[in-house]
Amino acid sequence: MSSNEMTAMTTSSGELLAENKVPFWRLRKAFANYVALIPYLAFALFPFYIIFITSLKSKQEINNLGESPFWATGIAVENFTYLATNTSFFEHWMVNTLIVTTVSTIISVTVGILAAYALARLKFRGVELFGVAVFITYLVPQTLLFLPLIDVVNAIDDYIPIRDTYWSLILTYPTFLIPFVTWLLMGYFRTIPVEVEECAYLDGCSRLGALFRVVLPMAIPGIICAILFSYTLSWNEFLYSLVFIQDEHAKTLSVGVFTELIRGDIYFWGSLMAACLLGTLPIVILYGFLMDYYTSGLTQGAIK
Amino acid sequence: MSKKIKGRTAEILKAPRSRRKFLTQSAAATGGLAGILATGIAPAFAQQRELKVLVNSHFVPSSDEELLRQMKEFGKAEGVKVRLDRVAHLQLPAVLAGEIQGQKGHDVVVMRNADANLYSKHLVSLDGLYEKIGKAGGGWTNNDFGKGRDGKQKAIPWFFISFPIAIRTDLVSEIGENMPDTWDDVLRIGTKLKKKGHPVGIQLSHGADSNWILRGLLWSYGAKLVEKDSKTVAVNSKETVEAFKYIKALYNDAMESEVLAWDDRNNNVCLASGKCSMILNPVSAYRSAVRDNALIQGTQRPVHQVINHIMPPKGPAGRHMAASHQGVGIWKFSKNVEVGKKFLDYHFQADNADKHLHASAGYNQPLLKTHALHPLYASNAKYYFAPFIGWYTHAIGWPGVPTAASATIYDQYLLPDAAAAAATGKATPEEAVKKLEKQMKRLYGRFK
Repeated sequence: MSSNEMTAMTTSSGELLAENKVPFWRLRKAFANYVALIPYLAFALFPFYIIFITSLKSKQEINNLGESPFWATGIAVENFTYLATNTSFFEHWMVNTLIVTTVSTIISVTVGILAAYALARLKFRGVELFGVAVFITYLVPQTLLFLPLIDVVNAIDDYIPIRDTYWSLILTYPTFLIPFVTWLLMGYFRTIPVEVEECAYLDGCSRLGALFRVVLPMAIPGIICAILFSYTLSWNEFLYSLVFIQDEHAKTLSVGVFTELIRGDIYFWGSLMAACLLGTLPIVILYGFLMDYYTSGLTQGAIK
Repeated sequence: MSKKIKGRTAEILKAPRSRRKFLTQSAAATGGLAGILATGIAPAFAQQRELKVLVNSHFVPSSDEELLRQMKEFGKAEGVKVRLDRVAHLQLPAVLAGEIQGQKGHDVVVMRNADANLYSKHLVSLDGLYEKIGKAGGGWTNNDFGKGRDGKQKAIPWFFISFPIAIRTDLVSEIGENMPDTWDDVLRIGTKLKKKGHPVGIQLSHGADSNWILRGLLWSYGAKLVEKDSKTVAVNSKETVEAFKYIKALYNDAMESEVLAWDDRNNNVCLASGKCSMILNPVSAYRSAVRDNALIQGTQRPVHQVINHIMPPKGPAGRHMAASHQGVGIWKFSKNVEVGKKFLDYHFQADNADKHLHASAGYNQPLLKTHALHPLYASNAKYYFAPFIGWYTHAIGWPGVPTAASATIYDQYLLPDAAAAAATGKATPEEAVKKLEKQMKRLYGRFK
């Protein structure tokens, strides 16, 4: 035993301190871990940093190639003011995006839960094939899907006017969200022991009762993970929004910003960065609140 | 006494109903009603006629505002609703493709460069209107643009966006030179100014500017991508090789390697920042320098004060430059073809065309002869080039007409890639030209 430790143990007030003292090897390990994280963090956060810094720069500063792109010499709010006064960013695009994203996520996760449960639990002919088919559907790129989907949207539009409204997106986003949610939750449901459900049946639950009272509460992390992914995919979607909506006031963020702030060879660079910054905030906040569920949902669904 | 029901309603009521059919129809009716209530928009058959126009977002916002004002004025007079939609220019092809696929969308659409040829079978013929507007406007400055594959006029020429040299007059004076008039002048002056830290900025990259400028340069050297028949590939010539040798010299002596990675905005920034001595660009570079009050590095002097525009350079075969041409067409599937024609007729009336040109701050250069010498261009010394540049300006495909094949060559950036290969030494000018010819022949073969 070292003399330092002896001293710590002999003083009454120092006794507790000595017991709680973090060993040096642990500190060294933590330090090494955090240092190792620095390159990753720098790589991951650098784009956000540049977005943030550029959004605070004046037009003159952005144009000046002599100034460092990594620092802002002052804080200019003109880019944010331009967004608020000269575009429909807050009034329409943000609101439309929130509505489309929320509703299509609710629809997709609801349908996805039912489909995933059926594929994970029910036994019927071709269940495996059906599961693979769902996955393959997800792999079909949007750039191919948007052309036939136009026919579908137009056909509906003949009876119910959905083109140039966010309803066309609420209808079409689930085409790529449901397969994804289904596939994600299929894996998650398979990690929940069947025996738990069987106990519920013995206690008098129906299949739906067991699903809602037993399986879903156990699958909360997976479901939240699916919600987050669906929300992000919908929020960032560009092509369907571009093709189905041209009405200025019905546009979503991704297309509206592009239309208004890129005009030929002139980019409203500061306002673009301000729009990117504000546009990512809802997603960042959502992830901030649900991060723990998200990580556990990902890891638990990954292994059976 | 019960009222007697006749016609289609009577037929429907008399028709035998199965329970399944009844349920299906009830569900459809409920869904339809719910949809109408949810969206707050009446079904198509119950709506007032609406003229929908699609354009790409204009560089000068007031140009779009004036167009919308005219549409509203027209709509009020004709009793139709109007709607102006805009998309970013890079996304326009996706939207047009979507409308053609669904045979539904806008009525009047912007047709750029070779679009009228590419979408020929989906556009109505505007021969009569083209003649009428042309006659009233003193004739068209370019009769090649807007032609469909059947030879009919599928788009009314709207305006072109030219490529003069935007140049720092102070820097040229400092080295005791006059303004460049030929490509050789550009090389000589550019070489001197690069040594002083002010290179020439011409993209050799995947950008529209690169496509336009390099075409102009080739034409100035007597080279051409295709023959006048618009079908025969004619790029492999000693003139093209000479032009490529010039590009190599210009790249090595007067430019910096960053031009290989530039998009369409980088040359604007290079000029506005005070770094570049000259670029070839529409007036947008100058206008944005004014708007942003960009300063010369290390000084408080606004750079726009020392920028001027001059004619694109001459080559051994004369002065030629390419330009983005914009037209307007009407889809065949539009339910408002006649209203669309009426609107175009209205929009191209002298007074309205004049207001539209004014609103664009001269950016929309007219293709009607009566507007070519517009007073706006005399109001600012920076625009003195504008009335005359049209004489030397051609659409893609020249000396032929813009075709779907020429648009494909343009869209795939074959010319910028070949020029960049020659400039950087990845290929000799002869090899780069041969490869370009091979690629072009393969693509032109598809459209035979």
